[in-house]
Amino acid sequence: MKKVYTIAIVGNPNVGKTALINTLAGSHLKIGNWPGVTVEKKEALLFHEGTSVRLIDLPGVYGLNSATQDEVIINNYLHSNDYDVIINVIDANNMKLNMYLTSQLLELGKPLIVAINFWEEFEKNGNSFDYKEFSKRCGIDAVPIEAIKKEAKQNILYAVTHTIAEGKIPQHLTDSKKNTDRKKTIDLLLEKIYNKSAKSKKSITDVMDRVLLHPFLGIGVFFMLFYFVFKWTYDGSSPFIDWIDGFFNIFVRNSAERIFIFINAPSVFQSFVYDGLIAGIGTVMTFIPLMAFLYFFIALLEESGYIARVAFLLDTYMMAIGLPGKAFIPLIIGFGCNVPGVYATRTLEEESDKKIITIIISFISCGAKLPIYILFSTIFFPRSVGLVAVILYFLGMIMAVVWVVILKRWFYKGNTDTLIIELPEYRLPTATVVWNSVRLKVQSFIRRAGTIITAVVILVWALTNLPYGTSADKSILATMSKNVSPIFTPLGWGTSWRATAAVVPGFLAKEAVVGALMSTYNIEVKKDKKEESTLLTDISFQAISLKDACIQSGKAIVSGIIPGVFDVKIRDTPLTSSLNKDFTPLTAFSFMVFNLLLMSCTAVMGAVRQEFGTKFLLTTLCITGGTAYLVSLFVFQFGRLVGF
Amino acid sequence: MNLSVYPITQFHAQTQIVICKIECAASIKEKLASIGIEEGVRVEILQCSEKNSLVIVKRDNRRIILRCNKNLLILGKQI
Repeated sequence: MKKVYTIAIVGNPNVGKTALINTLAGSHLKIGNWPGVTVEKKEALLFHEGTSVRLIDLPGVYGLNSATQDEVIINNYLHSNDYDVIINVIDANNMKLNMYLTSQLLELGKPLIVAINFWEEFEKNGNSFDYKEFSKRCGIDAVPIEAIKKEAKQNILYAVTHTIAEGKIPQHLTDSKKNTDRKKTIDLLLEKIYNKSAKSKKSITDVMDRVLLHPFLGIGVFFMLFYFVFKWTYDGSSPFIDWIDGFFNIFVRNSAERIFIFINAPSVFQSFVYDGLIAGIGTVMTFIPLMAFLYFFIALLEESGYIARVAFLLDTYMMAIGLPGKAFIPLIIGFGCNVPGVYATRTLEEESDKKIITIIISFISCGAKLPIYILFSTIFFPRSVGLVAVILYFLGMIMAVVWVVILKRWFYKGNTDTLIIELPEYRLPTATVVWNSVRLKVQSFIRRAGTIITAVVILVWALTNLPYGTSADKSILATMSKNVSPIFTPLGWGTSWRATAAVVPGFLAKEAVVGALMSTYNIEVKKDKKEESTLLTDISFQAISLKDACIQSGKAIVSGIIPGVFDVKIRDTPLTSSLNKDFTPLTAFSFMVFNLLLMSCTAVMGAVRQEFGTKFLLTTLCITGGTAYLVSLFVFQFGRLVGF
Repeated sequence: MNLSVYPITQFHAQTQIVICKIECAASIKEKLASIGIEEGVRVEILQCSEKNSLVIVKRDNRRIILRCNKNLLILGKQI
């Protein structure tokens, strides 16, 4: 008996594969890439009756025709011997249409289970399907399930064990691979055992689409939805940002101090920990709530089925600049992180459209750039923090439109995309799926924070503080930055070597900019001088503060339902007085614009290089770098001219 | 001569039609077949935008956005 069984999960898009794998795998879900390509691969390992089971979630496809890269990957994988069983998830309410792929899977002659999802809804609508007869005819197990329910796990794993134990191999449905034969055979097979109810009632999806896809109402709803996404992201995350700030600067710092006193640690090491690690990493960590909230709302919109509608709504406007509405989807994904946004361009058929979107995606402000906006806006535009962020987002979108027009007209002409997209039914997002989506993205951010940013923070601390005792102004980093700073002087902030020093780590990861600023300003966080603070009192204080943060966040979201200006709490950061010395509101805005338009990080560079090659990456870097410099220059010089 | 056959972008929303002809490359035809759009099937027009040749059709419970342009011409007849 094998030690590890591998199950490949395959099906049309929007049939509930992700929901099923989340039910089966729970929090053990991991995301990676298929070897040699950048298509996302979800897999999980679980244990069942003493056996390890590895689940592979294959991309959603309608057929195995090898027309798209997803289909090529699936074809290659399914013709290999790298798995033991295929689970074909089908939507009971679209059974005939789903059978196209099922019939192709049956022809493979490999162990197969058909999981019939949305079974309760199917039966409730008066439909019927004799799945036992279907199982007998095809020589496989067909299992009706509700993918989001716990029972699905038992039923599926029982079917898997049964199929493997009996060595079940399916019978072919078709003798010919012609579409007409396949279609006729599916019709004949289902006609005898599949009964669709004659009563057709308007589904709630059709009713909602009358409004949400309306040319005017739909656009209004779209803007309103995204307004609230950003408002709730800021309002809801603020209390947690405060808590994490306090956690690092009080609890972690106090705990470190106790250890240093005990071991009599040298002052240089204490400086490294306080001013390097705690200050730098702690500040970056304060932005996890912001990104978690943003990912949460984007996941809700994706899982509900709304995001696909955006392609239709915005098609008129996207076509006005020469792109299909579908091209907006990678851009929406780019709001969370540019890296999956780059990979999402694979859904576009035209190569020219893929390249254009990849170039302009850097102008779409990802979550990693938010810490920079929040920091500078809080200090220099305290009453308009949210408004400044919205202005920056819009500026990025305007530059994206400008470059689309330029690139489409002169460099990447191409043809209008042939658009074929399925609109999923509206469904209530499943808690497990949304949780896993947010968890995986936040984990990815923390992993990067734990690696690249930690390395950057340590490097910047070292360049700023070594030899120990040297003032920051005479450090290695200061010398290097002062040599480079004149390039940025026309942008208004080049006179500060610290600003220049922060830009370089920003190439590695935008989250590192804030950490680098903390290091270069040698921020000493004032310790809260509580009398007789012990480890237990500190833990108790943090627990109470966390509870308060949860309550405040809930209140902020509920009160935020009334539209109004963004109400971000003015927060005094340790960088306030330091940045006020080197920046003015105008130069701060210029600095934010520069970071907005610059390519996000090395991970994006890696994704671009992998997709399109080094030459295209260099082209993209020149376009984004040049745009960042010129727009920042314009902002500062024009602002100075009009007296800001 | 069939006078009632039109490009599907010219039908009003909530119209039931039967697809009479699909003119496109073989690969696109195959993709459409896998998604359920073939000659002879009945679909409902849900939304239509003749300006940018976009149409949303519904077959069974599947809703599909299609752009009908020089790469894809779908003709249908109202039923």
